[in-house]
Amino acid sequence: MRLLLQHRKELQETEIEIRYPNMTERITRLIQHIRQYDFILEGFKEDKVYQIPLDQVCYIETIDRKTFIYSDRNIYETKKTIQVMESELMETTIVRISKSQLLNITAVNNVKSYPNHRLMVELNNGEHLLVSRKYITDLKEKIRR
Amino acid sequence: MVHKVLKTYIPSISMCFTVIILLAGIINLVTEGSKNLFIGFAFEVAGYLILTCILDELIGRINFKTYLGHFFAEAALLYPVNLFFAVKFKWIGMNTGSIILCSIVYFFVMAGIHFYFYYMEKSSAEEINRLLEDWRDRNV
Repeated sequence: MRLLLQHRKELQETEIEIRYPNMTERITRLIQHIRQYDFILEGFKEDKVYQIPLDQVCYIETIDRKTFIYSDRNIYETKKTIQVMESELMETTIVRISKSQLLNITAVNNVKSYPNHRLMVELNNGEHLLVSRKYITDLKEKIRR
Repeated sequence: MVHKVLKTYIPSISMCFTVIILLAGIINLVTEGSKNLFIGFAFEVAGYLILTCILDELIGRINFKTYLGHFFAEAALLYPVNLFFAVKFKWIGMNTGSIILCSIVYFFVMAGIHFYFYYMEKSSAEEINRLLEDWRDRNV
C-alpha cells in the first residue's frame, strides 16, 4: 500500500481519498477507522463549547442526571442523555458497560476479572471502570466486530 | 476441552438434572398423590437453592473488592440458612458430628462454586484481552 500525503493550502478541510483495485475487508476496516474521526461530540466546559473528536473520548458517564464526556485530560458536560448518545454512537467504537457509563474501546488497555461477575477495565490513561455482568457480552461483541 | 466441560456440560447437566428431578416429583405428586420422601427432599433442596440465589443477589449489591472478601461474606451469611434447612428438614441428624460434617461439606461446596466462577471469569477476561489484541492488529 502506497501512502501519499499532499500539503495543499487552498483546501478548506482535510480530504482523504482511497484508491483501491478491489474492496477488501482490510480496506473496509480502514474506512471505518477513518470515519471514527468524523464523529465529533459537542461538550461544554466553563461555558465554552468544545468539539471533541470521538477518538479522544475515553468514556461517557451520567452522574445525577448530568452527562459527562471524559477525554484523556478533560471532562466536558453534554446536554444529551446517555441513551441518546448510545443510540447516536451505536455504529462506532462506543459500547455501554453499565447503567450509567459508555466506554470507547479504543481507550481500553486491558481487562481483569472482578468480584461478583464483573470486569475491571484499565484505560490507557490509567483510570479504572467496572463492566456490569449484563454488558460483558455486548463488550465482547463490539470488540469482535 | 476443559473449558467446554466447565462452560457447557456442567451447567447443562445441572439444569437437566434439576428439571428432571422436579418434573418427576410433580408428576409423581399429581398421579400418585403420595408423599414420596425423596420427592419431598428434592422440593426442599429446590426451595433452599432459590432462597440462596435471592440472598446471593442481595449480597452481590455490596461492592466487594476481592474474590476472597466476596467468598467469606457470602459463606458466612448463607451458613445459618444452610444449617436451618439441614436441621429443620432433617437432612442431617441433630448431633455434633453431623453438624460438623455438614459444615465442612457446605464450605467445600461453597469454595468450589466460587472457584468455578473465579476461573470462568478469569478465562472470560483473558478472552476479551485476546480479542482486544486482534482488534488493535486489525485497526491500527
